[in-house]
Amino acid sequence: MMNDDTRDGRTDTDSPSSSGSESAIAEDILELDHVFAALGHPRRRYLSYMQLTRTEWSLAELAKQIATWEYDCPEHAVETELWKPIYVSLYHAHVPRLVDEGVVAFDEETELVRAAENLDQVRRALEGIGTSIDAEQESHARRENRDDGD
Amino acid sequence: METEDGPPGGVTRYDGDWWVQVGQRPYDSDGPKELPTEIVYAVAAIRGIDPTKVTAPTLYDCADVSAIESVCFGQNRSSRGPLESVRFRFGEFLVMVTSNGWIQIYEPNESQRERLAN
Repeated sequence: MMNDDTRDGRTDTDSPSSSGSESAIAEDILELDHVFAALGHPRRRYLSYMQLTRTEWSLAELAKQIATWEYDCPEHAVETELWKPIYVSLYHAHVPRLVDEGVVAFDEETELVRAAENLDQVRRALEGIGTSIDAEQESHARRENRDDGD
Repeated sequence: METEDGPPGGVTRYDGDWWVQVGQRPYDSDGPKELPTEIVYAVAAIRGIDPTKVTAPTLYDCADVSAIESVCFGQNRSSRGPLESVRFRFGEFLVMVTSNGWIQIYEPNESQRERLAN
């Protein structure tokens, strides 16, 4: 029987008993798509770390912070020609991608990037990864943010 | 500026219109700048504006640039394979990315369109 439950090639009606726990698992797996999409590029990972330390950043601030990480230099040494290409890639590629995945929201007028509903999924994934593979990037993002706040 | 022969550069037919090449920029997929950045810089150079002033539409809304990157420069691409090229509209321009490492920017050629109509 075809009905509205049939989406994306998944036919839930094939299961004799579709219990609550099974659908909960399926939803978790689907939510991982947002996580993988968000974390599939080092600049998006860095941006996600920064978004966890403070929920609102200007696009230029993000570009400059990413430059400090990519070029391993202090913020005052980040010259325009270093952060401008990063700003362009954030504006035209990475931020729209994160907006599509519901990880951040972007205000065209103010150019502010804010946390959105799926950032929490990303946070949980980063907490697992951060202790092992990605610790250096995470600690850099957190350290930069602390310096910024002082 | 109007000239009989149009500016130098290739002409291509796309989306029912004739387009003439107005600029190009090399792209090194192993280089420090990403493909979206290089495309925006190429368009900014033609418009004579700062790359950060190239706003709507975003490249993200016009093309799947990561897919283009893998078609033209991906690991599965054989260097002996045929030349790949991908074209897409980006605002008023037509962008062509070729697997030999060029980003070419085209504008619609009004005079040629009129000539063909007669």
